[in-house]
Amino acid sequence: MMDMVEPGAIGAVPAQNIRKSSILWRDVRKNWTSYLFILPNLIGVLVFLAFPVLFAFYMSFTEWDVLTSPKFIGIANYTKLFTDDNLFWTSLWNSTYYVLLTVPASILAGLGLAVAMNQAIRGIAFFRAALYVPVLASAVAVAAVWRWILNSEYGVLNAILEKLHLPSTIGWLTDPHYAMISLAMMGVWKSAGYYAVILFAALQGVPKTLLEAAELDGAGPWRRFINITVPMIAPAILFVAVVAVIGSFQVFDQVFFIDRNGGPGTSTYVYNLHLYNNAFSFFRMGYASAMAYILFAILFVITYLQLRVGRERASGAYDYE
Amino acid sequence: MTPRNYSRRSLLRVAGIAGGAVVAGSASTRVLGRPLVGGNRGTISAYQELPEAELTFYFGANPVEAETRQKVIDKFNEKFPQIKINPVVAGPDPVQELQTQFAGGSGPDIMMAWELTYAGLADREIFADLQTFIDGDAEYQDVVANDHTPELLDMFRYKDAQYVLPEQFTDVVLYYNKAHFEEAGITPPPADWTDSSWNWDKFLETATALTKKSGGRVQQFGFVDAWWPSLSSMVIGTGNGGNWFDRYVNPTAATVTDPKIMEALQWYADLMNVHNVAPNAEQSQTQGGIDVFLAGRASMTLVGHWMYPAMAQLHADGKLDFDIGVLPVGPGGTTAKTDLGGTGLSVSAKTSNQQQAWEFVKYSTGPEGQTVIAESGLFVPVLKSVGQSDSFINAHADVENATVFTNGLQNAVQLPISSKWAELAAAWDRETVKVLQGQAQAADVYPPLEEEMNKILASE
Repeated sequence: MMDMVEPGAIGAVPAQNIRKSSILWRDVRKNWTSYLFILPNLIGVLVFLAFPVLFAFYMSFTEWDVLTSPKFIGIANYTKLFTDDNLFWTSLWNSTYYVLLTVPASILAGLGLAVAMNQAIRGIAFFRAALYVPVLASAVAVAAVWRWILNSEYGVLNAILEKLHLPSTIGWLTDPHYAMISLAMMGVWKSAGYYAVILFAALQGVPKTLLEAAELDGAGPWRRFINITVPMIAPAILFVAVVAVIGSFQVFDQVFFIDRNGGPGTSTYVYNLHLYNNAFSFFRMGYASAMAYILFAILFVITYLQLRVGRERASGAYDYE
Repeated sequence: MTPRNYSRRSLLRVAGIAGGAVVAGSASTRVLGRPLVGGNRGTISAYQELPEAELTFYFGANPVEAETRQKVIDKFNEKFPQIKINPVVAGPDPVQELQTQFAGGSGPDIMMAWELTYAGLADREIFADLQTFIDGDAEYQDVVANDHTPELLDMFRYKDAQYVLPEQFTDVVLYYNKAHFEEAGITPPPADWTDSSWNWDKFLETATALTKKSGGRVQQFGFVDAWWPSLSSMVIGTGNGGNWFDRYVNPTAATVTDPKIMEALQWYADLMNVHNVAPNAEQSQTQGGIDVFLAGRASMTLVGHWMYPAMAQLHADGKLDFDIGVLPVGPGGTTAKTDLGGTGLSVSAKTSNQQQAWEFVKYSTGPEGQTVIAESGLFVPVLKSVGQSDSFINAHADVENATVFTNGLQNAVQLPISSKWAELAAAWDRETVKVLQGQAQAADVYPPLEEEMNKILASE
């Protein structure tokens, strides 16, 4: 790799640019077979990811119904969203509420499952696999099953509550106060297995020596978990938190398959449902693109803050190494 | 696809080839016709030799309907063997599907169009203006002038163009379970749209008498909505003398705060939430409205003719004894009203085989196609000559009151035709459902809704 950095004959063109591009070009010529192998993927990313992302940015400044030609309207879509669309705010709040309900719950559930997976009991491989099944199940099937679980008349959830002598006439999906909580339960159930696998991998990387040393010093199981295990897996927890926030903010399919109108009322009308309606029911692609970019900006800021705060907190874990 | 359907289609293909050979053999003795648009009056296009074409025909249908649909296609192919029709059954959201297909350059050649949604698609330049074809076709001009129903033609006339020709009239009626009424010894709903004795009070009384409860659970409901409850409540509102738009083709203002409309919505919601003679939101989770009725768990249901073929099938199997009656009239109305609903056929503006596609639309919406439809019992035909014919009545032998379907036409209020319908419906349905589920009162949510709808209508 040393021979790559080689000052060539440079003309009037700024030195840095020509050096960068000639280095890349030289590298391509030298390793052309490798580049040929990644070419299909590269084309895929450019055509199906980079292009739509940039195109959507352009579209967000237009009015476009897919069939007739787009009309440039400047920032009108953005101003309309912020000043003249009540449902924008309603749906933004609904998605935020969903994030607040699901993220802490799924991290805790994922951590609990990861600890359970880490136990040396007979047939643990089966349980590990079983816990991952909800992640793989299709959202349509999950919604169909949960619709029955949550059925207020014949559902198993209310039946269990009845057996426990708890309030058992809750309209899980028909009462606007409970509908979002029900969706959050589904969301946690579906995603906890995924977070558990990541956290489980991190758990296995916690040095046994540290735990044993702590045990010799008289630390109980809980203390060992809080003071050693959790700090050691903090980077993984941070990763899970970031992924969970992004994933939860983008919630769409469960909601869509439970009630595509986001009902009862507007109680489950989440951000992406509003985006979907604008794009595919009202065919306002420009408006929907603007919504997508606002969501991107929100997620960008949140993730940035999470990583900043999280890195400081989690840095202790790296100190050991 | 069932094996039965498949074999029928293969059979059709063989018949098509055989038929094609006959036509080809006689071609020399005939003047070769050309596709005529706006051309010679008096040319009988049925005898034209159109070039071969393979057309995609997109329509919505439940399985029973889809099977009957094929009959019309088969008949058409007897006459035009060189035009192959490939049926494509629509999914749950036809507008979205069509829009996506056309955006991708692969739209169908012939499309079913629905009254509520076609205007939006017409604005996006998907449909050809059929008036051009009608103008060039003396034979069909007669049909339009003398046999078509003007109200339905007007419903599909938008911005001075006939984008769609009506094919079926789909008013909603009240189906009832005869056995339930006989068992309870109650007089069933009347078959005369002008019978004003069948009012809201009488309806509630009947529904109450037919509702059976035991152990805190309802075993049998007096009524269940099997259509679209929000829209049903508006139709009930028009039967109360109300109007929810200033006019129905290209409306300029929503008038949902009309006290007669709000009164009807509240009455309809109370059937579910106060009197509980119809399933409320919680009781509707387990089964859809139509399934509740078909399973004999409700005595009356509001739905259109499109459920008739399925019910007739159950009747033939001895599983359901039913008939139809009219909707109840409200205290503010003079006669009961149903909706002037319908679907029609349209030709794609983008197809390269417009003339062939037109022949199919013309056939299906003309006397021959409509007669096949009437005989099959698939739809309520739109042509006067066919609707009043024996074939329609004979095809509806499972009920005594088949004329309720056709007579609805004289007592129907149109559904709104607006290119803004998708947005209007989203807002209106959202608020109406709140009332229907008992979470809000019509008087509280409708005034702001009307403002919202008017804003949508005013937007360019």
